[in-house]
Amino acid sequence: MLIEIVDGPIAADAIVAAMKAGGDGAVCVFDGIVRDNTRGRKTLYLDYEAYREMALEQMHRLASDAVAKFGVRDVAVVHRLGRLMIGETSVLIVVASAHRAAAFDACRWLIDTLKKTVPIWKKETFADGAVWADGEPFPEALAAHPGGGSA
Amino acid sequence: MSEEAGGADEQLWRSLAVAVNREYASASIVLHDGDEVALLPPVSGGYCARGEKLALQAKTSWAQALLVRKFRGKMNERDDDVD
Repeated sequence: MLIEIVDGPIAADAIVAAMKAGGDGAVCVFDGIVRDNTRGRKTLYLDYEAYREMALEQMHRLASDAVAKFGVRDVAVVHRLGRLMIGETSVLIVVASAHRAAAFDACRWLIDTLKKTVPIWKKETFADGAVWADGEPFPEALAAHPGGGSA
Repeated sequence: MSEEAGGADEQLWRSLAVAVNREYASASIVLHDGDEVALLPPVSGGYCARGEKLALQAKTSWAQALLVRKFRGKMNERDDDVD
């Protein structure tokens, strides 16, 4: 499994190519890129920060869980930190599997779970200001005060 | 940990997750000397689409609220808790 937090560009094509093996019938790729607007507000760039050590550990656990839960052969999860411009890859998830259904399911589960549980934050800088993204409430099982996140 | 904070502080506290030694933990966990404690605001990594909750006003930096500090409390009297 390739699990990394990087500070420079993610070489998506090379990572996807390296993930393919003879027994695979499907490689599902999620390439998360920086969009040029949020609800019509023009975005200039994003800055990603992380609690790096914990984020890496959580990403390793997610990848292991995905393999166990969906029965896929291999998983790559790479997240970039620092300033990213429009169109650049912030997160890359690659799932290799004998069959497509498991690959799709695992890939979707990985990005959805990563967004809720891996301690990475982003600041959006717009043409007319900047905000730290609100983030999603923690899943019930992880919240310090269960029930508090939905308030 | 204290739950005395009210109003905005209370809301802030309830939105946080606590990590001890880089694992999510409940607020009632007993800390030991040398534990690494982090208060985590809601995370927002991943790709650049995050639902319908954009706050247009500028806000205090969430990431700057991240606290990662070695716990160096006077835990000597709690030696029986150390495993």
